Amino acid sequence: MHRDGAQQVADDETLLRLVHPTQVVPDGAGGLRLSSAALTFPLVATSDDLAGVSVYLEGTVKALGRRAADLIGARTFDEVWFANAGVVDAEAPGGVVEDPVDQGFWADPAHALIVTPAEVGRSALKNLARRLAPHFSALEPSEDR
Amino acid sequence: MTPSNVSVRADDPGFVWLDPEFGQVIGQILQLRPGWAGPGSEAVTDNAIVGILEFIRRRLPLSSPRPSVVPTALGGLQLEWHLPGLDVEVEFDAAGRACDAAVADERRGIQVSSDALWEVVDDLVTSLRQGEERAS
Repeated sequence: MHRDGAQQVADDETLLRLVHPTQVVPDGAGGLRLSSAALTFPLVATSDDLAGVSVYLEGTVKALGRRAADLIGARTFDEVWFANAGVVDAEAPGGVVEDPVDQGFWADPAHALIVTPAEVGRSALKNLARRLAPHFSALEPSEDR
Repeated sequence: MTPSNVSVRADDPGFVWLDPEFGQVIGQILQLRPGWAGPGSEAVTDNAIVGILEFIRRRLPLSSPRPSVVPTALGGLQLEWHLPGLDVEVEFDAAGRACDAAVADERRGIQVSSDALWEVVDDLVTSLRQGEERAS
């Protein structure tokens, strides 16, 4: 179903999403939340009929001897937001799968994908992003999870 | 990269939130360069800016609360309102067209979202324009 040998991510794992600060908005209750726009790109094809949105696995990040907060400021992204994998898995049609890559970034082995059927269309992807966004919380730079 | 040709004067007396702070947000978004949201992401277009400003002027009631303006990685923009029991989003693509919208209003018991809705409206407007030509 997924890339060769791709493993489902355990429900108790924590997903880390790199976020640009322009895609964080007021939540209407005095706090902040992710915009759905923060969870729709890039859409990575995992097979002919599946695609996924990039996240990193905190467990693997720690196994690499790093902290989740080390991802803050990575590349062009200044923020990291996190969510429980089980909660995301329950919302995403294809679940969450491991997807280690080799792109010259220290966290590449921790890369994973929130998977959705590729043919569902942009509106369905946006709806998924809208459902997922409230489940993410901001990771503080000093946070040692 | 060609500098944006859009000049935003955020001093419309109709909306209390169409103020310098709003203009500053737009200005920050216009600073984004290709790749800002990762490889393949695009800078927000002038058309997208024009699209949201047109939408604000023509469609929004003056009582509308301040929206958040969020860039999308495909060169578009999104207007968002998140209030207790109410979430509203309208996305504009790089051409400045409203391409997706969603409303979740607990008080009114409404939860709708669609990109097709806007296609229907676009088709309707196009047909009416052609109808005007046909009638003349």
